[in-house]
Amino acid sequence: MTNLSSLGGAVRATLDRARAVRLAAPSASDIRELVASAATAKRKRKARIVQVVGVVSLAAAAALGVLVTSNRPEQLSFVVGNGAQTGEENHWIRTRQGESIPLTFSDGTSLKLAPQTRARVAELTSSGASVALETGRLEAHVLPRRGAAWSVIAGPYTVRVTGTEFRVSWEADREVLEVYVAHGSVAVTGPVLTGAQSLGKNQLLTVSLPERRAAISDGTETTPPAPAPSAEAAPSEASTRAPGSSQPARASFEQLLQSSSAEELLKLADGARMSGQAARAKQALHSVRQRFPRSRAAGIAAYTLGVTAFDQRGAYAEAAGWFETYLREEPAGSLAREALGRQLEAVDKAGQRARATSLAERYLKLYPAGPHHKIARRLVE
Amino acid sequence: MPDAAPAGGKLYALALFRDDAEFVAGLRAGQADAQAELVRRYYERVAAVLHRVLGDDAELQDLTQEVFVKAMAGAKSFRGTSENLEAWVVRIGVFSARGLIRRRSLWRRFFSSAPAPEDAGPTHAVDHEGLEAVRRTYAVLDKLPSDERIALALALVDEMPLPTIAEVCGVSRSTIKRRLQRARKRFESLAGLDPLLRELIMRGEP
Repeated sequence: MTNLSSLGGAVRATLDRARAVRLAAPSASDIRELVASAATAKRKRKARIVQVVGVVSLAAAAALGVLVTSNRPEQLSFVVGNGAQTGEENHWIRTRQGESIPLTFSDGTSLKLAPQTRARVAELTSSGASVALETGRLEAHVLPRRGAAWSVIAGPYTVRVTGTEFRVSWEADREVLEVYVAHGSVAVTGPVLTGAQSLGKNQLLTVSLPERRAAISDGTETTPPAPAPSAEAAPSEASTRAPGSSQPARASFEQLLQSSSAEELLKLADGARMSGQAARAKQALHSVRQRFPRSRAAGIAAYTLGVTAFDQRGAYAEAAGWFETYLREEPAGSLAREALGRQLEAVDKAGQRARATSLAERYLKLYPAGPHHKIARRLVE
Repeated sequence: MPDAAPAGGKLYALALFRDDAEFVAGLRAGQADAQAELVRRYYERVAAVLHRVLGDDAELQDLTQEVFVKAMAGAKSFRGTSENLEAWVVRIGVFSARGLIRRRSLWRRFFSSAPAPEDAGPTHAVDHEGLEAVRRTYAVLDKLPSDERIALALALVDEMPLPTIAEVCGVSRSTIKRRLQRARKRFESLAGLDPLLRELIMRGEP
């Protein structure tokens, strides 16, 4: 009998080294993309179920001698550019500087990708299409017809439309969305907006995700929004109320820190973290701890400060301190297991081996099968 | 997949759940926060399992994502608690890997000259003997029936305990025990024909 475990160990070590280099854990935008693909997969499965049910019903009708004519409309198709190059789902289309590319769909709808735009037709159905705009601007002329379903997905935002002319631009770097409706109406959903925000003729919606600001203006089309307007330069309140909200959307960040509830501040911090505004996230979290001491939210803020220090700055000693604070304040909190696991990881990365081992022993005693049990076991051994 | 996370490093949404039960309920209800938390908690584990089952495979990253897309889509039917969640996601991963292995094997059967799975390419740490051992080990594993290959990779490379292997493979413990015995025997006889693998196996003998 030979011993295979040494071979297994050697293979594992080599693979793990390779994975650590190549397969980084997902970023926030990766997670958003995964969540979006899950939703698309679900829709497709539902469509398949509907098709199967349709086939079964058809067979039953035929058995009863009823002549059923299938008039299921065909899936739309599209061509790219002025030539006749047939477009394909999920193929990225990129325009260069000074170049615009039209997409013409079989129902008469047309889209025009502006220069320096990257987009793809994510899904084609019989009633419309879903277009993912990674960055840049597109102009759409959707042919109005019954049941038409078109959408443009720009970052975390979705613009739904039934028949209209509109323009969407998404600046991925600055995370700024702009939707202008020339005719008809659209509904926009996504962060900062409350529910589905309807836009009518000649309305322009501008949302800045990092600034957590939304504004709608009426009138003629204007140029794309200037870089993240400052609170001082904010237009009149009437034109800048957050859609669907009674609060002014352009209240300064400092005002928000003073006026928001603990829960709102945590959400604000979360949004700031997700959009890469680490400093603002930190401000919001410190504000929770100052304004709502000894609350559950204060504990969560401590934990989140630890996560931010660990993940974004690699400040392991600081992170360990925040996780310890959380555990001291919320020893039986819902994040206690995660906090202890993260703490031992942070302490280990900070080079405090003896302390990490003692935390690992405590972790294994409390959570022998917890998510950090492997790291803990490695430290103990 | 990983793009440039703002400010560098990993960025996650912090899911604010009162407890794990609320997290699982959110997952079943298709809440984006819960789905993001699922990825945050188990991405690395699933990636590790798939890597250890498939070896250095160029499709690893896509497959890992696919596992989470399937998990999110199928969460509604998840009946366990947070304690079973890891095994459930890993199980989806194992079944996805099995599907990939079978598709490739079927393809090779019809197109005997079909190229081997694309290698993921060299890594920064060039450990030639280690990389060669990995390549040859998976070349041998590739000759095993898919179920035996998966069970053996999980036991040997992932060091997954036997009851867990049974759980993620969806079979009883006695079945997995028999499957592993057969797999070991087959692997040993095939690896014995390869001088490098033979030497590595002999090194581990007491």
